[in-house]
Amino acid sequence: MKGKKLRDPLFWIGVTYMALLLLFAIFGPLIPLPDASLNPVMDNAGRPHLPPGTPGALLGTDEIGRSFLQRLAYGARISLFIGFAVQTINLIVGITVGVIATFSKKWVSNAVMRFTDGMFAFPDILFAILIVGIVGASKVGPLAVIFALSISGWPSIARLTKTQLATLKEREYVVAAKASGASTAYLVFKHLLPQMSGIFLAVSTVELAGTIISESTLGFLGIGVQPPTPTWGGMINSARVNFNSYPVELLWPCLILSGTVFSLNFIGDGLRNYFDPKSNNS
Amino acid sequence: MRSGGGQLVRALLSRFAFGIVSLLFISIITFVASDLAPGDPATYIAGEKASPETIQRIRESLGLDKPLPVRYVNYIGGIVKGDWGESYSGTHEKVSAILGRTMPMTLRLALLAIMLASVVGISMGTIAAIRETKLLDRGILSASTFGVTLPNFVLAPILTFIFCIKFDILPTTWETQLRGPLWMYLALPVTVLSLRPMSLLTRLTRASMIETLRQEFIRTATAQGVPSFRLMTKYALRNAILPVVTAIGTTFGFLLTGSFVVERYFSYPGIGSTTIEAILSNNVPVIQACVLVTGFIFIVVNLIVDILLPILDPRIREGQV
Repeated sequence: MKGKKLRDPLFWIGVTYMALLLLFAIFGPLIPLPDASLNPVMDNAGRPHLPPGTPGALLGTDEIGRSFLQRLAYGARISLFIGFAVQTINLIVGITVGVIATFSKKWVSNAVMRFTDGMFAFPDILFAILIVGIVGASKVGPLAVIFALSISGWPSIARLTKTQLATLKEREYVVAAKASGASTAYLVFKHLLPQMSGIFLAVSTVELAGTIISESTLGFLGIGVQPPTPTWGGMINSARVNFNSYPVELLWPCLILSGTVFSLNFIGDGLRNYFDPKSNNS
Repeated sequence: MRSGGGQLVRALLSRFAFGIVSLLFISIITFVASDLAPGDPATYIAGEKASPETIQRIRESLGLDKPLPVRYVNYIGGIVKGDWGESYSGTHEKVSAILGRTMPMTLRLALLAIMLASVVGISMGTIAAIRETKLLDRGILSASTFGVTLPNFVLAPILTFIFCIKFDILPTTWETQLRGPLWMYLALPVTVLSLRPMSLLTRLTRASMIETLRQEFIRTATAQGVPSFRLMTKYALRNAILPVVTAIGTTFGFLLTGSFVVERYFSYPGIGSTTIEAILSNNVPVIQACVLVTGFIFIVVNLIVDILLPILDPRIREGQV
């Protein structure tokens, strides 16, 4: 089982990519700029559309002369920060709901799961649009996006918790612990949740990819984190306008985003095969 | 048999009730959210320079001074009569007219995309299942993994680059005056929109078919010499198709989400781009109506799928499953 995970090259490609991306997100914005006009965040009238390879702006500059390399690094910060925050909230809310649905009275459980199913089935972008509608598009920051994406994100974790708990709590050691007088809280925290941590990690990794796509989608539509803060989605949107003349400018954000999404899926699949070999081809 | 039928009716009724509750839920959420949104309808209608008295008068005439539940009932009552309010911007066009103009555009895009996705997805999935673990199967599986993961707004520029810039055979964006046959303008948006559902349906059909092909009745039929094409379509696919039909309903959600991106990318004048424009200009009545209509369609499609299932599967119809 252990050997299987270690031999999966895609898993390690994903891990390497994400490690590099994390370093890029932390240190990328610190790459010194030889020229203040290349500033990646400010709205400035620098030298627009510099080609890749320009000193100080290795990947060139955008339509108002901001360095792509540093903008991608800022975008990585935003995407990773929002992604991790949303997944943390999803895990906390989803596990809580799943545990409540498993251990409470039948009608409570039914009501909770019906609500969860309803939320699960709903297209996440509708909630995001409502939130942005309330906040007003021009005032959207990372917090509003985190909120918008968590509202639709927790139900999948809640459903997973419920199905996992349903089988786990019938296991002999759990029944034994219960028979010897362990409280439900003790069972949940000591015996059940630790058993599920591997699956949660695998699922959250794949969902992190989904969150990053959603965040970029909002950015692309102009209703995500607002400019001048650089986001990958926002960069794709503005590069789209100049696509006919400068197709290469669209390449950078698309590449880094696709790489991230594929890497996270590789990691998630690797983790799932490692922790739960039975669910191999779903 | 009889009791099975009764169970089915009860299940369908409960499903129907759930649909109604969902509709109410989304309408309340949308209404409350719009109420919290910045901007006061009366000020919009009267104009920024209007006196407080005028604004107050408009507010009363619109019933905006009433408590929230009363306004909600009035709003729903208006919708039932076909009155969705007026747009804040431009010529204060009726929201119902905007919906009437954009909704058919989006439905056309979504229906074409789901049709393309179903035809290609089910065929590919079936072929992959028949050739399980062979090279063709691996190829289809990898392609579908790629298709599930690749965001729409990354695929769109790739296709635009190939078909509009490199070979220059398709137009890049929608135009008010179409300068060519309609299909040329629809080809790219429909393809981009269908990629994700297509990949999902491929994977699902494959998994479901593989499971079905392992069952005994297939072996029996093979042994009895049923021709293989007939065996695949009439025996195997018919049994394997159920989860796929359910999924066609649920992937409709991805289509709606995807259509926001695709419409915006190709400047396609549907409900997606209308919603985004409304958000960017803080046009609350339009946002409200668009979200509500999108949610309604989504709920109704899922309801139809659940009602269709027993018709497709006699086992459900007779209450055996």
